[in-house]
Amino acid sequence: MVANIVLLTADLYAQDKTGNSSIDNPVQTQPNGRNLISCSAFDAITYNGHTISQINATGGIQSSVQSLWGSYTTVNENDTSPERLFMFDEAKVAFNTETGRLTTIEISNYHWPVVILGKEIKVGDQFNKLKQEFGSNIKIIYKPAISDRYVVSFNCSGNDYDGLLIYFNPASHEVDEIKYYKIP
Amino acid sequence: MQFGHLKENSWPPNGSTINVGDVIGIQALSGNLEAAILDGYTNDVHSHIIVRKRIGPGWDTGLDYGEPLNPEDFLTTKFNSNGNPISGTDC
Repeated sequence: MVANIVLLTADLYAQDKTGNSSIDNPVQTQPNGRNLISCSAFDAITYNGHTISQINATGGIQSSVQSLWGSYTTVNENDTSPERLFMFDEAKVAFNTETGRLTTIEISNYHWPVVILGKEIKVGDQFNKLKQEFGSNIKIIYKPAISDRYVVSFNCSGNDYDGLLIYFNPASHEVDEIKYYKIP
Repeated sequence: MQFGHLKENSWPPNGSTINVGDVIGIQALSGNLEAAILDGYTNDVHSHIIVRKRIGPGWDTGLDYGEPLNPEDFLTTKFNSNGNPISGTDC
């Protein structure tokens, strides 16, 4: 009898193809939309230790960017748009060279965490971690015509056309990219 | 003339001669367009068009081009709601 109960429990925690415990598909279970936080909380989000205002303060100048995050791998000027792109091993950071302001951060490695409302999120985290940190009703956005990945968006009402998107691999339900973006 | 959000390398090389009917680029979700659509800032796939007067010998936007100009002064063909050119506006 005891053996039967153990087997039943094991069945409930079936393994998927990646070896992870099966979880509900957030595309089917989570409400749709952006997760609005206060603008002061949004402005306090850090990207590998620094807020957007601190990053903008560099003006996209090489030495100032290096002082924030250490040595970058390469820096390139785009010859078709006014953009300076810094490549790190773990992330890309782009500035508009006419305004000196940040346009994009793309994080692809767990060495560059973001901290939202005091909670650290990084590439490789499971969706369930976000539910634990931000509540079971955390919203997602899924637009398969645009991307096969679903995203968790953090934003504040009344901001100036920017946002933070956390992209999830739809098979493993792990964070596979974190992106800050600003619309020109 | 610059077009934003195109598929990378879908445009002719710098210095190419362009003829009527040539494909000058393929629309994509490059730059921040995918993020902007996912986040609801825009619902439409679109391209940005920027026109600048060339003031230098090279192709560097920071050195060889002046302030942006009004693209409508250069794109004179108008289209109706069905996407067809309006007679008499063809460039």
